[in-house]
Amino acid sequence: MVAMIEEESYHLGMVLKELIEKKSKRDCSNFSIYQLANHLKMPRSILVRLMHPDPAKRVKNPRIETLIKIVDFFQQDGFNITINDLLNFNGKRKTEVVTEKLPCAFNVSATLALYSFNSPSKQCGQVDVKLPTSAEGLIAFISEENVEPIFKKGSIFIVNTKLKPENANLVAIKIKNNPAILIRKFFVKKHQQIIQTCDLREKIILMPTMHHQIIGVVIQVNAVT
Amino acid sequence: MIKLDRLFKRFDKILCLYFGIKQNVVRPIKAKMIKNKLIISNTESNRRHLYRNTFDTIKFEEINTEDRKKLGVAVGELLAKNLVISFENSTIKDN
Repeated sequence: MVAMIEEESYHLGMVLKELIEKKSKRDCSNFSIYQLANHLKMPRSILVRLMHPDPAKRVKNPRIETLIKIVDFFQQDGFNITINDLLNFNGKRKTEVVTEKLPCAFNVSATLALYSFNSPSKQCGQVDVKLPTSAEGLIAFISEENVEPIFKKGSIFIVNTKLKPENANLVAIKIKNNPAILIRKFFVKKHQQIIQTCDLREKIILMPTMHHQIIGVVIQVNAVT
Repeated sequence: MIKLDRLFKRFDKILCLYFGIKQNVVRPIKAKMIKNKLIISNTESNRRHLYRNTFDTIKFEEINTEDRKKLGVAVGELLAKNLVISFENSTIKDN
């Protein structure tokens, strides 16, 4: 869903006010300048001066760094906005806003084959789950122990075996001569692929190795509360 | 004094039940990783300020379904890229 707005004689402050209102409406909660300033890690007074109703008191030439921070924040939040949209505010302007927050609605129901961490080769059952994406290439593992940093025993890890790991993904790996599945964090640093425990305490292991095999990328965890 | 306090709390509970008011609604606002511990900042009904909890002390029964989903998305993003956490119960069946 996308909403289009067309207005005349905008100024930057109005664009910003509009974005804040749209975010409040979309998220069904009051989003304020104070919260925006917190997120952007800048003083609230900067944003207030950008949006001041009195043209004499309003800042008309903000720093580019400020504009970039604002645009980055709203882009990451699902708004289709660029710096040009903020700057082309003299005259007619259109704003596109994505009104459904991405990425996540658990819309897809699926039944996945369930394996345990300690016996990954033997299917121990099936699990009904709700997913934000299709169930292709997915298998589920149930943990018999607590998994750092927050997952309790009995949590179900849904792994996509067809996905190529990217930097900062959680991955399920298998170690040679050890039947158990382990959960690790995958990094790419200076063209090197590294796996490490989630709490970053264990030493770094460089991939690929003969002893470690990546089963797939963990895309969802049904955590026990 | 303690007995009076208990009496008031019981009376409050009965009134809330009668009017259908949930006694306590917790709204998670922020999630942060501090020294490998997941800290959630919450607001609570009738409580003015934000307060922090470690993740393992959160009372999920006091958080509504929508907020639990949002918390799951936020915590998932915090822990790893493209990771989502669901706090809903899963049904496990035999083969």
